[in-house]
Amino acid sequence: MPIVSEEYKEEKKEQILDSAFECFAKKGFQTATMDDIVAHCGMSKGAIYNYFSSKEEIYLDLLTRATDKNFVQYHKHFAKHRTASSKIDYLFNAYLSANPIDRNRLEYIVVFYEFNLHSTRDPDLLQQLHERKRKLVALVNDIIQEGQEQGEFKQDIPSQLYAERFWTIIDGVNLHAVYDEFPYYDVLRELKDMYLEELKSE
Amino acid sequence: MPIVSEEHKRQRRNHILLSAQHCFAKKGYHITSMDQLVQHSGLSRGAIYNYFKSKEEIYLELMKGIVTREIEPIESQIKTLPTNLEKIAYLFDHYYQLEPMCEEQKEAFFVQLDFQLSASRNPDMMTLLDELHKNMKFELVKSILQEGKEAGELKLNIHIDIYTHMFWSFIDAANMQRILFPELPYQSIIRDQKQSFLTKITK
Repeated sequence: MPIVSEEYKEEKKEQILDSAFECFAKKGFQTATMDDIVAHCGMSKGAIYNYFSSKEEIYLDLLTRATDKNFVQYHKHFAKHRTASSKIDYLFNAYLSANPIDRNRLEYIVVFYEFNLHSTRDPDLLQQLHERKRKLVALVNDIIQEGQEQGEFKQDIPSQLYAERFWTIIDGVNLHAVYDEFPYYDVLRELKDMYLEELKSE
Repeated sequence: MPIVSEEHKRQRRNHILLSAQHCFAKKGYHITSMDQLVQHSGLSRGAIYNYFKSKEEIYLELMKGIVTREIEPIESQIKTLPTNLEKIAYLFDHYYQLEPMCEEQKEAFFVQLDFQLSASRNPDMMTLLDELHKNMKFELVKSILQEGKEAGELKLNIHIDIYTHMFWSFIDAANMQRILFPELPYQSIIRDQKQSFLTKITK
């Protein structure tokens, strides 16, 4: 077997991930098969299985990459923001600046929630989603606690619950973005005001 | 052919739909075959085709039934409440009280979500979904907010459509998370959201 560079491997992996995402988006996560991905990708079956053993593994890699990328972005911005409320503001704005009718974003959302539903049938997958969620909740929880220490946010607010609620708000607007007439910006902006008003000390 | 009462037909039909709900929730709509539906229902193929002409028809009828079963108990409870603010509070309480969800409720939410996601690739399904969402869920909350505003219970600058969407997007997401992670505190999250929502709209 020829020696292949890490760079080459990474390139191949990315090629598979892109191709697989297109299959998931087109057919649905549940319906798409490894064979579909092989056919769409133009590589041999063996070559693909060298990198991934299942479509679940492929999707988890896609998701982890996207989440990691977001985290890098968040932390980069957090370094510049001094107050906790400006950090929360930034997180909401990250979603407010998304284009809700962008086809690619909608596909990404649909496949993500399809994978979530699919995972209810597999405890290992569910565990991985849970881990991801824990990280997301911890991100917001840390900001809220920081705001409480600085006196910016109310002391008696249960930070963990508030952090969970942040992501429920985001899940909600993302899920409803599939409806044609859903006023994504207006709904999210109003929810953001509601959320921040309640956090801030008088 | 024996004479079958309307009641018997209705029961049969419901039995087929409930059995299909279970199959779709366990395996997913696309992967479930008509043969599997037949087998799980315990009826004959012919008996099922007496009621529905395809798997798709079963899916559409099932979806209508799920939304109706979700909304009807809320509507009947709401009628008994005197003020619109109490009605809004009840909307949240209704979902708050669904803990723990029984298997049938979980399956119903699951199928509803799955339908919503699949509909993004299928315009016919989307049309039905939009109608159901608009006529049943959206209308229910919107009319309460509207009446509350007219009765002077709510702030006048509250945008009714936006608040209706806020309610449903939040509740749908909380219910989805409950199916995925039953150990997380979604009851408390719904309770807190209720408080925020009421504070924001009350005069």
